[in-house]
Amino acid sequence: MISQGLRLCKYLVFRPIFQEKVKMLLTVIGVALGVAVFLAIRLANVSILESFKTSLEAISGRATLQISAGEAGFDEMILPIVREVEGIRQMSPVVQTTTLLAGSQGEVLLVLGVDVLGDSAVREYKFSQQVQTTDSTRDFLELLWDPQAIILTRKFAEEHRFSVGSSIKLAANEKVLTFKVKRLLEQEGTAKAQSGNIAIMDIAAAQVAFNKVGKLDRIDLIVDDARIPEVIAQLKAKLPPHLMVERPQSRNLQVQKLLRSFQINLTVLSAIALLVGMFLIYNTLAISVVRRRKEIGTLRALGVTQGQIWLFFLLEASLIGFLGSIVGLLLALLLARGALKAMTLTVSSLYVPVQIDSIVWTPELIVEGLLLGILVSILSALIPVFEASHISPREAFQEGAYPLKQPQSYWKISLPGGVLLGLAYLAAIQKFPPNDSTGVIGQVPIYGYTSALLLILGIAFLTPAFVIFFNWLTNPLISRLLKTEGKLAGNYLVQTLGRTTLAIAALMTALAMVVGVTIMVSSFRKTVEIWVNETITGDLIVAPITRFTQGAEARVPEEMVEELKGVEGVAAVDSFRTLKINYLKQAKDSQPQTAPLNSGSGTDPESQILGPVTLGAGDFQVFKEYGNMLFLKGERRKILEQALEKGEALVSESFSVKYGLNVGDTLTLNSPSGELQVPIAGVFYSYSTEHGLIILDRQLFKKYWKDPFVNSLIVYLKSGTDLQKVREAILNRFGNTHNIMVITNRTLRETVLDIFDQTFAITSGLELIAIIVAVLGIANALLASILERRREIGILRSVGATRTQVMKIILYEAGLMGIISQLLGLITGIFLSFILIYVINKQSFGWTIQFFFPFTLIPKSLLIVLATSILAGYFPAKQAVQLKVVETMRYE
Amino acid sequence: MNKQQKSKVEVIQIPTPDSSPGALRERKRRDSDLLFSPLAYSIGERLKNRPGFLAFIFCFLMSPVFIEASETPPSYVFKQALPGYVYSFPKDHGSHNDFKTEWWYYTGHLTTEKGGEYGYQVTFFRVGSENAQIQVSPSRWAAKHLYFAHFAISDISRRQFFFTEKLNRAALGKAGAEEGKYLVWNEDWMVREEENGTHHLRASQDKFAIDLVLTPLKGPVIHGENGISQKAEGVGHASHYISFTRLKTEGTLFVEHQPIKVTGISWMDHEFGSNQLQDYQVGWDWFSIQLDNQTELMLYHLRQRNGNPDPYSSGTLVFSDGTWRHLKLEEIQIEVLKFWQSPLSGGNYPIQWRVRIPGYGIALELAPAFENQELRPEKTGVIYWEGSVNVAGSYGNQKVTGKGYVEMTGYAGKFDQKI
Repeated sequence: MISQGLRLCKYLVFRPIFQEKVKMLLTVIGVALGVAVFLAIRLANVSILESFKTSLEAISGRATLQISAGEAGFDEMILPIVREVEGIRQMSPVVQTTTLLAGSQGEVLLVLGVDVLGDSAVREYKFSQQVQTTDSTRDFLELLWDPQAIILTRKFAEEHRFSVGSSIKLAANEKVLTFKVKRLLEQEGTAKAQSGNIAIMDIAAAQVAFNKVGKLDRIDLIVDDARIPEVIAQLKAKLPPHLMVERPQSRNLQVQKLLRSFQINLTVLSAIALLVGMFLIYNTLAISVVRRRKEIGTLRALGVTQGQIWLFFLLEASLIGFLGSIVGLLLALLLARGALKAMTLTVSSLYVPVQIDSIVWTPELIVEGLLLGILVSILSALIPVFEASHISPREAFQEGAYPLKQPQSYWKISLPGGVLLGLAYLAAIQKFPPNDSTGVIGQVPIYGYTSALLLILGIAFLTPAFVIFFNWLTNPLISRLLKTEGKLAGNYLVQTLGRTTLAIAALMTALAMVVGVTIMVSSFRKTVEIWVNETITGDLIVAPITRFTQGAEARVPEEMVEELKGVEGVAAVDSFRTLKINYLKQAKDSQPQTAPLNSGSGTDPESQILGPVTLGAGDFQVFKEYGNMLFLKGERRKILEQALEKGEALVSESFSVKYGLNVGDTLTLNSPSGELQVPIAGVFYSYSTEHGLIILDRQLFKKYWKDPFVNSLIVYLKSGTDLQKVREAILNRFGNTHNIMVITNRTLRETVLDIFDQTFAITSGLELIAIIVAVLGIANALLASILERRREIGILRSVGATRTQVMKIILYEAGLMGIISQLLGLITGIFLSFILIYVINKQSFGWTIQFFFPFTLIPKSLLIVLATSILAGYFPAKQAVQLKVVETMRYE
Repeated sequence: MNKQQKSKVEVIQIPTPDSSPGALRERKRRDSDLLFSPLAYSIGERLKNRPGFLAFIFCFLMSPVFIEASETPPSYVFKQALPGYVYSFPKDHGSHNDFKTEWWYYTGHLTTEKGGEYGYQVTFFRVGSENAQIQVSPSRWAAKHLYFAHFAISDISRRQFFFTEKLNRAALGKAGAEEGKYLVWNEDWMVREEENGTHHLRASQDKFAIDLVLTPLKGPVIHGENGISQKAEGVGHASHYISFTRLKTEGTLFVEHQPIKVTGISWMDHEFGSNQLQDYQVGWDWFSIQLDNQTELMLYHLRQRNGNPDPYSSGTLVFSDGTWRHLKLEEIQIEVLKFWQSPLSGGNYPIQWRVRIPGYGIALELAPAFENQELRPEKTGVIYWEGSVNVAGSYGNQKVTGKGYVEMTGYAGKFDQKI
């Protein structure tokens, strides 16, 4: 029985595959690309998260609890208070700074300042050439006496040609500091963090070097698991409320949350590529079934059961899937690197600095990849196989009389299509979660994605109807322009809808995605551009050079504000300070109504963090006179006056959406000086961060945060002043003592848009691949339909059609398929962009994007589609003309 | 007996590999210029006298670095131990941060109710940094002073020895020594003077912990002459050296966290100074002896590189009434009867002695409770022997017995490699 089965396999499954090499190849490539793209994105995502996890773990060491207060750090005199708590086995203070390696292309080095005499209790260090083997204290001692001493990882040192004894220059805040390399660390324990871009200094030296005297960034505690809850309780009772006590794992979760929207969006995009691959397989198999009707009929007549037919075809599908997976896996390797690089750049610019050098391959991922291809194939094969199993022997033997589906029967699937579209609309307008207008915090906008999916499926179901409609509309015109070939092409298209629909739908999907995302991206870009142009009004911006790598850590002393005012030509100077804080659960927010539903990190019930938020401080007076913030409601000057007078805050739109707070509501902020209740004076548009922005007047901020630093200075010039002259004057005056950059408004705007473009660069890569996959589909479909229409083609040739004419027919068919896909894709894409802009983006990030249709899109895509379709049609066309007339006419 | 007589006695050399006849008068003197040379510092620091671990430790601790730190001018200059210092207590029990090195040192013998015997040693050290930059650093974490501590227990009945160490900076109160009053601590180890004049001492390690109250039975003894204990040739190579030579001890010994009541007798030393020794001194042997006739004897024997005992070696004899007398090297005879080689460090230590103070008719034999009482603290980076010894002999006409502690430094090979 088995040997019989195997032989059948050989004939029914393997041989066809090897015979139809080209088609198989195309299909396999299609699957491979789909799998590759999906896997590559998945790998990149996993690698980034793994890298964070490894880094966080390496930096946390054996700590089981951590005390921190966000970016601003906290007073070090908290430490003796913590010592009073019982149950703490070990305790180690940390001062942490992100620095830039001077002279490099933005190479970031994280510096940890620790108490070198006690830190090895918490963190693991392995020194190159260890002095002692059991206690690394003596290895550290050199750091105690030299404030310039620093320890690097061997990896970093080798990469950048440092060795023990060499000097290293690091840029931090507005200074460039020189340090001396004393020891090197091997790649173990703490040295694994940030892919080796980590350095250790003594805490005293770090405090002095990085303007952190009197402050700590973190205290790491080792507490027995069993005692953690009581220690947390004790700490919360003793410590001021703006300090957080968390397990290291929850910081990991925070990072995951930070990146979640970003990563999910990418994953979904990549899934679309996979979807297109599925279309291909469906196509191939469907055609395969058709072509082998006789075989199947014969087999059934001989007694092969339906079940066995299922088996054979599913086997064929799995085989294709398997081959596709393998190729896809290999491809994914290449793609993943590129994807990772692009993602790393984006994540570092927008979220947290991340350093990765390698893709994380786990056996699970590999198995996942393999299974994915197979699964996808089997799913796509279900319908054709169902068809195959229902072929009756009698049908099969009717030569050449495969049913030309009549147009009317297509209405049967148009109806479900319509229903799907209706559902799509319903899904789109769903507020999520239901009955909650507060939106989502880091949760997946499922209805948005569902709506998009339903939209695409719905249109796909309506494709046949559209093709028929299109042909009816345009055939007269095409016949006039392209003569008989055109007329025939159009009609053939309608007649072979059974096979070509899928290809058209596939290309439509790809195009819809391209169009949708392009519209969204250009709308977004335009919105940001307008916002940037309107709101960034300063003439010159002065900031530390490390601003883009250190982010809000890059600070200058506020004395610079006054000094700048003294420069000739300067009308006003605004300063901006931003600080990432955690918006915390308040004790009174235990009722679900006041706290958004998805509070906390989901898996950590002890976490008090609702979400990361950026706190900003600026000079409201200057904002009022010179600035140009765009508020959702109300007049700018009035709002700022009120805010200034009454000590109120301004919040960004995404903050308002995420936390359900509006004008008039009260914000509760935990500052080092105690709780601050501040009403909201206005909600403004902002695209600088998805996490929400709260702005206070600088005086209010300083009063509570006692923070004398600023991150950037915005200089407004008197009218008629020469921009460049003032810029030079500033550089001359401060450039020697401070490591600053002075950029013009225009440069800043360009930089913002550059970052934007960088972020979306990866999406264009995905789109490209989707198009390739779809084009393969067209080629595939045409090839198949040509083989099915051998007889017709033969007849044509026998009644005198030349080779060229036959070629033209096929090419026109291809072209028509392309145009139809283009039109459908355009329509679908526009609706898709609505969903993306108004539903998905709004729910994921909370901001308003103005719709902006890039009109250059239409001619651009039309051209591309036409070109690629015709290209796709070329090979099938050649096949068509190579058919021997006589053979095709033969009856069996 | 011959208390006042300075008899001409042959000074018996402690056999060392390269012993040579005394060249006391020909020994070269180092200039005080060399005080400031990096090498002198590093080597000189090695050679602290017995309670002066500092140099010893400091050299390991600091030497490779110290050399570099010294290259960074200017250096922070500490006060020197000079004659004419006016002692006042309890203030002088506290820390003297303007001197570079300081320690508070306790050794003692404890007996449990069941008759179990233990020896203990707790030492708290403070070393100031000579790095001027660090001394003026605005950061509270700057290691202006380093605090380390050693705690050792000799389980005499089982002949087992346990030691542990701590090394910390002040770290906002993690370790420290108060100035003006007696409170010294390092994490959970601590010693302080209570209202009633007793010392409360606490230390712990994995297996053992002590919580003792020590009552001085005699007033503090100031060793040396003119208020300083000179250790080497040259101004400043000295320390201020204070002892409580007999303290009644009671409290709790924790063995595997089980409390056991103990009583006993202890000895406390407190020394402070800056750069006490010179580089031609390689180590020392220090003896503290408590006899059952209520007298105590302190002797230290500095050893020179050429094998000769340093002429600044000296001692103190404390009488039962609390008065004391400084002893010069000529008045002291120490003979080594036996050696012991440490299996772990390779050091070849004298392990049995005959001590004679002929001027007073003192002849004693010292033998260790057991041999392996060697400390090898890794963070501190030094190796030395410090152990409980039993004493028996005669004092004049009386037969006497007693207990003592002996400390020997500079015998383990590792010592040399460091430099």
